[in-house]
Amino acid sequence: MCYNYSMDAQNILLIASAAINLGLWGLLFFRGRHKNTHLFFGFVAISAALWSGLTVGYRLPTDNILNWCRFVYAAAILVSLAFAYFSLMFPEAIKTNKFLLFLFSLPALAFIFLTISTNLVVADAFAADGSENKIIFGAWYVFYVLCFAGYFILSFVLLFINKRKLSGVARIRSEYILFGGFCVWIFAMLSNILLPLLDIFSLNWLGQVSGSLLIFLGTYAILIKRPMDSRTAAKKIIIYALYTVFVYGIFYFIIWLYIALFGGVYSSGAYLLGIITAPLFVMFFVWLNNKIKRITDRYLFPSLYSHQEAIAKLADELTNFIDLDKIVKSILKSIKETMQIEKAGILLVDRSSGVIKYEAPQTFGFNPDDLKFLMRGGFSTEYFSESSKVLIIDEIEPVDLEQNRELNQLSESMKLIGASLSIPMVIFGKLNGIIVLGEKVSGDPYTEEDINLLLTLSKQAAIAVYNAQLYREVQNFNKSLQQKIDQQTKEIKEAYEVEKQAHEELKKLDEAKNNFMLVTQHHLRTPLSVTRGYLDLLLKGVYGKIPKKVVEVLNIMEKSTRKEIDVVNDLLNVSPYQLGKAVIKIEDNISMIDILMKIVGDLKAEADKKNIYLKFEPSDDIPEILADKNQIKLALSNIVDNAIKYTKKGGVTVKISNEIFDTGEKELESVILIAVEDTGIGMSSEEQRAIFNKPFQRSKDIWKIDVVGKGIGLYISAQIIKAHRGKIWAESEGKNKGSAFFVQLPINKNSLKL
Amino acid sequence: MKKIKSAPKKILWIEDERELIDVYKCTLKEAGNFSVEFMRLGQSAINRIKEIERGSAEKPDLIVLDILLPDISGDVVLEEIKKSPATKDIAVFVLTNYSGEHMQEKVRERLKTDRYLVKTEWGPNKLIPLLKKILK
Repeated sequence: MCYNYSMDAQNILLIASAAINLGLWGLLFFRGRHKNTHLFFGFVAISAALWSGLTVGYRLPTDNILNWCRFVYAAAILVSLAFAYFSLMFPEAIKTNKFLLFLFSLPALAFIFLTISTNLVVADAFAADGSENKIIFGAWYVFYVLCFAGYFILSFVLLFINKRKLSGVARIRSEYILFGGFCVWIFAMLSNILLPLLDIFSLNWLGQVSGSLLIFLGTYAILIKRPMDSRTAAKKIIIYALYTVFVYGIFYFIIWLYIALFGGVYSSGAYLLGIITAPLFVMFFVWLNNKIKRITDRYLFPSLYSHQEAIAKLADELTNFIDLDKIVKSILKSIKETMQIEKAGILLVDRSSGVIKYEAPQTFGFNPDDLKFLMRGGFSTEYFSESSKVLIIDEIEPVDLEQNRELNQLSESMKLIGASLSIPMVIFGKLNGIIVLGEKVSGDPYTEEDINLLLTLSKQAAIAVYNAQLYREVQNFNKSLQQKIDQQTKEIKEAYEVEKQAHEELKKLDEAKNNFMLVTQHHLRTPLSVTRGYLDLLLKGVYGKIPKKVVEVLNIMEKSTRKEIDVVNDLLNVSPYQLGKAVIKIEDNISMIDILMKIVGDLKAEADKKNIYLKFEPSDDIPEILADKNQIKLALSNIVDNAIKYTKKGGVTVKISNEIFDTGEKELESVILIAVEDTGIGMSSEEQRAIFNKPFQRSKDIWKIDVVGKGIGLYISAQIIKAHRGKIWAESEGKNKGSAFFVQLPINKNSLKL
Repeated sequence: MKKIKSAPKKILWIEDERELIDVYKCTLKEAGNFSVEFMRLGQSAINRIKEIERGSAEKPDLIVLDILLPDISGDVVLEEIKKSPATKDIAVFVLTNYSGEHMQEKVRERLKTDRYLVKTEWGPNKLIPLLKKILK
């Protein structure tokens, strides 16, 4: 026996086919042994491998060709049964009981038994020199063929019906499996069943080998998440076939040329020509490549879009717009037309309010509210922000749906509104919007190519939308800025008008006050000046000699008039404060010692008249301050004058000192403290509080003392001291225990910035 | 021996109160050697300034001016006096019962009056020596 002799190309193909089938079964097994689809397609793979494997044994030199032959034909029936079983279980297991399934399998099982153990199917088999083994078929062979073909036809019907009902990837899968199954069936029917009937056995291995095509296509369709669109696949196969034909043709043409010209391939002339022909070939190949693609696009697959074209077209459109609405419309239109989609919509994220909100500015076929409905709750936003992947309803793993309740909800919501997939638009790691698409008009699923295209488009869309949003934001900002400016201008204008009016009213009020004072002064003083004038003239003897007695009376009248004038002057002095008109005029370098000395000097006579003392105790370290010299003199003069008036015995002492107060703030405050102490009638604590507050407040016991009321004076003093940011207060131990008046004036120049 | 009588000093006195005119008239008569003319309206005083300008009236040696007059305010009259080159050098006393600080300031500092006197403080006996001193 010489195995080497028999290990021909067919056997190698058969062994490879069996190995491929087993390998693919292994893949299916490891990638999902619990899934029905994997399990039953696995059976198909194993039985196909078995068919090929047994054929190798049948074709090798052997003493028992008949038995090998019977096993091979039994294996073929097994393949048809496994395929039929699979079509019952794909994409979802048919609902039936085990007994019915047994009945379904019964014909195949029967023929396997009949083929192996009787000569009803395979009567005999024997080797033929230099060609394939020959077989003599039994009487029931025709039923065997019907059984084999029947299972396949039944499978095709089942798969075809299913395909019509299916959508998405499942539909593509069934297309692949249908195609693979059909190929095997055709090859097997021709080479293994019909040709042998015509006594042609030379291709009695082709069906087995073609089984691998089915197993390969099926496994690819089942395992790959997004199998290529069948038309695209066909297009690719055709293109590659054309390339192959071209390269093969050129190859032999050049060899023929070399031999014709140089007598062989390995001559110096051939090498030289090769240097020229090789680049020419490459250039020609590139040209042809484009040509072939264009030809296939135009004549074979006119409906298939070109990626580059779609992207370029959209990119071109997007660069023309900055308006958000136009961009969104353009994106959706482009996707919708390129892929022939029934429904499409775009959701944009609005972060302007600080909370993520969604808008649906453009939709085709979708209700905008439905789209927003998808994003309710935070899950969708989170999901798309994190994954930034396309969410395809068909491709969500059932396990994920079971485990993730929210994902399940999202997927159900998408199904409810007729959405097939959602593509997040992400820019700078942030979710910018979501494109939601419905099914294709054709019912075809989204392919890998579609998804890649959509991802590219969505990236472009995200950038364009982002730019448009920025642009819109800038526009809105400008708008609101202008509004704010307008508003503020208006407010300023209004405020100005109010101010102007207020100013005018104040001016009027000020004028009124001035007029009031003018008139008051005039009316109060004029009669007094007339009286005084005539008294002067009378006393001077202008109207003749006057008896001594009358002179005395006139003197009394003159004195009373003077007092009256003093009272009126006081009243007139206080009126600016009452009217809120008095203003102090601050000068620098005012010496309080000089002022107090002057006051004491002026009032000395008054004290002497009452036979009381008036002392001034100056101090060395008194700084000069900012003050209104005349006003401050008036204020202090009033206080000293008041002290003299209310003192009968003893006297008045004026003191000045430099004190430092802790104000509780950062800096210590340095002040001048002036004290006017008398030994007079004293004050109750009530009077101490009230004395500076009301202009006409007088000491209760005023009637006891022979003085003209001067309550106005202290009020004016208090107003002046306050206007200097100073303090004034009185202290007294009580009745007849004397009083002390204190005036505190700030030294810090800053405190007197008026 | 008879004193040689020098020419009387001319005073223009703008005052509207009849009683006060009477008092000042008597006072000046007593003081002697004054020629005084009283005017009761501000406008009369302004007219007089115009006449002096034209040379149709004599220039007084002193003007005594009240502020609160029946027609126009004394400070306006003072402004006219100081504006006219013919009268700007004449000494002006303001004798009034209005002692508003604002007015005093304006009259003293801006219009350079010689004195701002309050009538109640400056009775005739006190006023005459001052007039004499100025007119000497």
